Amino acid sequence: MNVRSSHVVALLSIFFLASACTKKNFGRRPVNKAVHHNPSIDAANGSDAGANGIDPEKAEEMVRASALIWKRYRAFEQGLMAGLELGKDQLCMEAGQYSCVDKVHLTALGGNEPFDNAQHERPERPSVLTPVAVERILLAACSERARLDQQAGPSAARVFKHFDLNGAAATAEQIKPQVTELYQRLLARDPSDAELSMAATAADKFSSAANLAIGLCFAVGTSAENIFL
Amino acid sequence: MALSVGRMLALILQKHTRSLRIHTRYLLRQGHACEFCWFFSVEFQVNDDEKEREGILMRRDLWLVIVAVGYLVATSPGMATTEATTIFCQKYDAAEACANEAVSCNMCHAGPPSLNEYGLDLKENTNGDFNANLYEALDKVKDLDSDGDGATNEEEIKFAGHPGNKEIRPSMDVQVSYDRELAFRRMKTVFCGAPVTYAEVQALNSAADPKAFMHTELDKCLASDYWTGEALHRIADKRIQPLSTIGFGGNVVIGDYRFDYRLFSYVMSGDRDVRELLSADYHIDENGNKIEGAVAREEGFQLGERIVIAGGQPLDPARRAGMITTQWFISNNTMFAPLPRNSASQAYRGYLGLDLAKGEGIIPVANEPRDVDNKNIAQPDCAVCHSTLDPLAYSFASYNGIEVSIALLFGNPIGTYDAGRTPWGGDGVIFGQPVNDLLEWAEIARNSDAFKKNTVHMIFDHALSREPLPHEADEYNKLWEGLATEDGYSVNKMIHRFVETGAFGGRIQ
Repeated sequence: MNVRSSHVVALLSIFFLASACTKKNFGRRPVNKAVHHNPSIDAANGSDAGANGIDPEKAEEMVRASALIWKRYRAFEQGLMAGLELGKDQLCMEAGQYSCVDKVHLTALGGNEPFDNAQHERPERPSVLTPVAVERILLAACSERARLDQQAGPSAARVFKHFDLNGAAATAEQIKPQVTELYQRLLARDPSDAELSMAATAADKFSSAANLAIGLCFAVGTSAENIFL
Repeated sequence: MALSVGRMLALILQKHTRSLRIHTRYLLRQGHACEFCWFFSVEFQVNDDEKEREGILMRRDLWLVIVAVGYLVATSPGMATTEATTIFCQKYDAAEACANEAVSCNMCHAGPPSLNEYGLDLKENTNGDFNANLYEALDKVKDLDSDGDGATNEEEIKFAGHPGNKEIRPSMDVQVSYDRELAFRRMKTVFCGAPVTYAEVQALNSAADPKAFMHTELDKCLASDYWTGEALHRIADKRIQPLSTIGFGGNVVIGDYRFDYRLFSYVMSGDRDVRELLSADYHIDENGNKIEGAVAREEGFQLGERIVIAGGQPLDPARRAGMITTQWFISNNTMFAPLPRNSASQAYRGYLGLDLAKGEGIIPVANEPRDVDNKNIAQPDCAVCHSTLDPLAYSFASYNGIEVSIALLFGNPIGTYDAGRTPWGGDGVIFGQPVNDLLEWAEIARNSDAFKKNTVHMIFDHALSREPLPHEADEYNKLWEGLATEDGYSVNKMIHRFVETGAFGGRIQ
């Protein structure tokens, strides 16, 4: 895939992902929004929950965000390698030599390098560079898997086997099993009906079946569910 | 000999100024004591050939440090006292900060000596005599919201918030329900270094006993190369503080930290007694087998293109106390220091979770600091910490570090025991208890609550990258309290309990 088509795929995928993420319950289970204040505090204030000045929504957001686990560099890498059946050196290599995970984007992905950089502690939370690194690695890995499966053909393809990557396009009905396969491989679950319907709308947004495959892989792989647990 | 030593240092510094400077800067950033200021001055004196080129930056950095410290001292209210924490806990004896956590200056200080917003409010209400008026001042500011997070200071103190830190708010009754699948997904990611597969989730959900299934999988994770050879090493990093340029195979070899990583992983895995972190008298070879006795160095003394002044593990096993007596630990932390404050503070921080630079674990000893090495630390602002730190450090003074007097010996003296190194080796005190040597120091340390808390904190922080939230305090306390009684000091067993907590596998309702 040339640079120009890579950019097109990336932009469309981001659009696809962004639009998907605006939908409620995309990749999330329904949650009960109730959060209760410490009754002792409330009693001391002689009022109901919230009267002590703590915004319940904000407090809930803080606790919920704090409770997430960041899938850091190694688990992120291993998940892609297993899910897309790629070797470590097939995942993403800077200039064909340096591992994107172990070297180039290690810190952005939550790792630390103590021996040469005296970086004795890993970052506590993702930085502004984390999504850039995640998207780069996902795009590289998905593209490599698509390239290999395109070469192999539908009968021998490992991941993208539900439509012909050498074709011009894929139908919505062909997309659904492919998306299901990607959800199972990358997120270890089945997609919901809403997620399948959303994915099916991508059929006419890509110029070729190969780009569509990459876009679907990128969208599923870059979902927050694949980065935070 | 003095000339030779100076020449050797000059060679080291001329050849490797950059790496040593980075290392020194790092140590300063980590809050190491002022003995490194002396190291700076040595570098200026001996590095004649390059000081115009290298020293300018060094001097600029040093002046920045001096100016910054001067500013802090000049603007300091000078009231950081241990009495203050005692008075605070008399007032709020049931507060989490007094009941279960290390007594810390951070209640009032942003980082001693500067005050946080709560400390500033207290200062305004103490009318000059801080300790005398503190008790009343606590009442005066209790209804204020010093950090502006919406909760009053008293609410924050009583309910596990922080009155001077808006990021830490009072506890709320958060409703959490344990989600087995979520816990399983997290367990695989954190302890196996690989996310679950679709098939594994199906297997969990179809298992007759999903809990037993998960714990069987956890056992596999804790025996995996990822856990023992990578994850535990990353947990060890800030305790070992490696640097390749001065480790085995580097340009200036002052120790071999590979032993440290292997020992740390060995003790922290396989249901071993985690207290051996501070008691092991053995080392581990590259195949994972115990090595008893002294370990010969792999490279002999070298002074040329590469400089090698250490290697192996020369310390008599009878004088070993696990991670804090490896050659690397001593070499990396005891440099040209008769009283090894850095070694003591690093041991206190790394294995007891008490960072003196943050005002944690300050337990002053009467008539200390004696200022035995004439560092001018008897003045009140220094004595606040040094009345704890110096007695902690005396026990480390009987172990040879990198020193002018022995650096050129052809043996392997760094990290060895020398009862006559200083007169203070038997004057140590830890947690208020006098000790005759480092072995007694380590025995008290490894049997302390601080050690248990720190052990649990290592795993909790590795898994969740955060402190326990207020609503998790009870289960967190049970974790460290059970390390001895339920787990027999096995980290693996503690992890099995940890993955069953709401903090790890809970979904907020």
